Amino acid sequence: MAMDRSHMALSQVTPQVTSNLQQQTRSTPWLARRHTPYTKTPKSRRLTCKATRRIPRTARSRTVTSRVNELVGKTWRVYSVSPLHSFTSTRSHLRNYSRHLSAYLEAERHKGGIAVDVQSEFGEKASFNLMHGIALTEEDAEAIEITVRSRSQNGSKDGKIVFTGILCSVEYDGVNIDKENFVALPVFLVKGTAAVTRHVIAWLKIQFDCRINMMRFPPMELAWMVSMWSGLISDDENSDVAVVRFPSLELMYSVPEEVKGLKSITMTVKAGDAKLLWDSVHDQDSDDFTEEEMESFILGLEAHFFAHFKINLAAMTLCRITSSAAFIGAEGRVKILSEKHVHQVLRHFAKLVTESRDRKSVV
Amino acid sequence: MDVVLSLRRILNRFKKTDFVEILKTWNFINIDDLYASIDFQRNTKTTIVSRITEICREKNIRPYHVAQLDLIYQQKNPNCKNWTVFKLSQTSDKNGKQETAEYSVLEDSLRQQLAVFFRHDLDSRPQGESLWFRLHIHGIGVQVSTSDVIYMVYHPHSSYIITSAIKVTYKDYVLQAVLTSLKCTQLKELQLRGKNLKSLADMTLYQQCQGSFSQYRLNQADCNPLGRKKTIKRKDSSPDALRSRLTYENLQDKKARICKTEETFGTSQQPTLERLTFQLKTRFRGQHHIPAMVGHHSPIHCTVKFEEIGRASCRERV
Repeated sequence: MAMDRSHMALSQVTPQVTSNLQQQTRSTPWLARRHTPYTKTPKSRRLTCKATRRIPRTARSRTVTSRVNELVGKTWRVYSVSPLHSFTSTRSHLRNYSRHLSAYLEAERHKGGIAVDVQSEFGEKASFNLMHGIALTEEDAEAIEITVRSRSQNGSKDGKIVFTGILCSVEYDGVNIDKENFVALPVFLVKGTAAVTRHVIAWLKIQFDCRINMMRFPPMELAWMVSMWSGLISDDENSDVAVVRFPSLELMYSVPEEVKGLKSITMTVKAGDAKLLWDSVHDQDSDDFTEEEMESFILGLEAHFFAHFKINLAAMTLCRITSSAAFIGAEGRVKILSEKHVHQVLRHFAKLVTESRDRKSVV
Repeated sequence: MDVVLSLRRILNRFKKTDFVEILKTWNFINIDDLYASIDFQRNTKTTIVSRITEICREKNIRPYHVAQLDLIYQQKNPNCKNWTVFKLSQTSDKNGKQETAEYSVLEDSLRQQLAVFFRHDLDSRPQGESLWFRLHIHGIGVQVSTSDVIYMVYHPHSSYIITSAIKVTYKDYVLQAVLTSLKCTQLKELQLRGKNLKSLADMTLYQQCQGSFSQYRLNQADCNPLGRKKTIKRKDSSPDALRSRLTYENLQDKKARICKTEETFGTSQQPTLERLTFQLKTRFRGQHHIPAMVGHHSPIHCTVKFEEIGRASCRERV
């Protein structure tokens, strides 16, 4: 039945008809492609955050220091989180969550017979804290930091941190969320040992009835990110000194396994030249970065490579990118390089979570 | 005690299959005596190592013997270390050739020069056309660390020397000693580094002789006049039923490609390359896709790296 409908839909869909169809069935924007496994990329993406200047949210936040710079320079693993049910961020609730998580880790330790973190002998202690400076607009929930420390023998002194996780949201458009019962913190940045990470995520899933998935970046997404963020060196910083400081544009492709003796190809373009290419591709007045611009940027670089080496980079898989904003790896690792770009990167991840959520609701 | 400790460390690096061969080459212990007390197949490595160490201690082993054993092991497994190639050059008043290629003379002069800077042990062992040096610099403590041992491979009459990693504190002195003992005036570190020693040696020594010219070097150009030529064409003896269902797309293209590759690179085994870095400073060539760059003539700086990461490397335990 479903196949017949889509078959009819395919034959009937013409450019004039498409808009009518879309008006009729709002929940399925990609009618013709519903049953294909391929994803459709958006036509354009916003480059910058809507609130580029940090607007103080309440009078209180003026006195609280922003902890954005703690995100910089560390390698995080990114997870996407569906909205959390009955999550409150008052101090008492956060203390409760800390106690629950510590008890859960303790129980896991006794159940398994080995410590959650094999190096700590005395168990772990979790704590939940608010992290200021990350959330941008009024609708964003304040970011939460989860830390797990291993308990040391001397109970008063804190052991070393075995896990840090930051649940955050930057300009997340949660149109379909029931605001009273759910809190949207779609991006989870994680740094910690594998065992502790697994347990913390399991606890979060049970406690707040949410789904947490590792976010992977397919080559198309990496291409978007590298094209958008290559132009982030502003003109006044474009002196030679600044160019040396800013990392250049780098694309790392992994070679198919059939090719013996070569595993990866890395192409690095100096920062100043990357900015030049970006300027020639992008329309300066607009805040959106379109698909055509992204395509021309990437295809231009690949053509430049082809002219020298006669190797078609489009046949390889893009697996890691470096831009002036961040290092991003296809398996979900990210390292943000400067404080200025934290919000842009996180906003983009929140957007990706929204898109994947929409895609899932269609299929 | 120190000698026995370093002997034990070296023996611990061996693979179980290597023991018999290396010990035979070493010839310090009679291998038949060993067979009496050790079963190389059945016993564990720790047992074998401790038994050999005991026997060596009874025989009063000296540092020279330990160094020879180490050199034999390194010559057998040269791909564990990171090697760097240095180019030596002389002033114009001397002729290009080295004055002597006698191994003992080279070793003595190097030892003399090194004695100016360090307390050290220098041993050498030839392998084929090259001479391997093992330089152990006596550090301040009693503890011997692997970074105090430097291996150098020198092909006499060539102007290249290949060394393993040298600690920064020792580097200048060691290189100066090498320069003086080989009677050269300048030493330049080439941008040639890697794990595969044979490939590095091939690439430096036979620089003009690579690719399709390697057939002359490897005696592949002349056919054997006494060899029999195959005149009868043999039938293909593979299972025909399966073969008939296989078709090869673009067979012509494949053949042309293979032909072209063989013309350029020759048919012998290529040197192993681990990493190849190109620095490009050329005009932008992707103007078809980015029309705004058409009038732009300044060069784009680009670095391209081809890598073969993720190869299984041999294990080294201290």
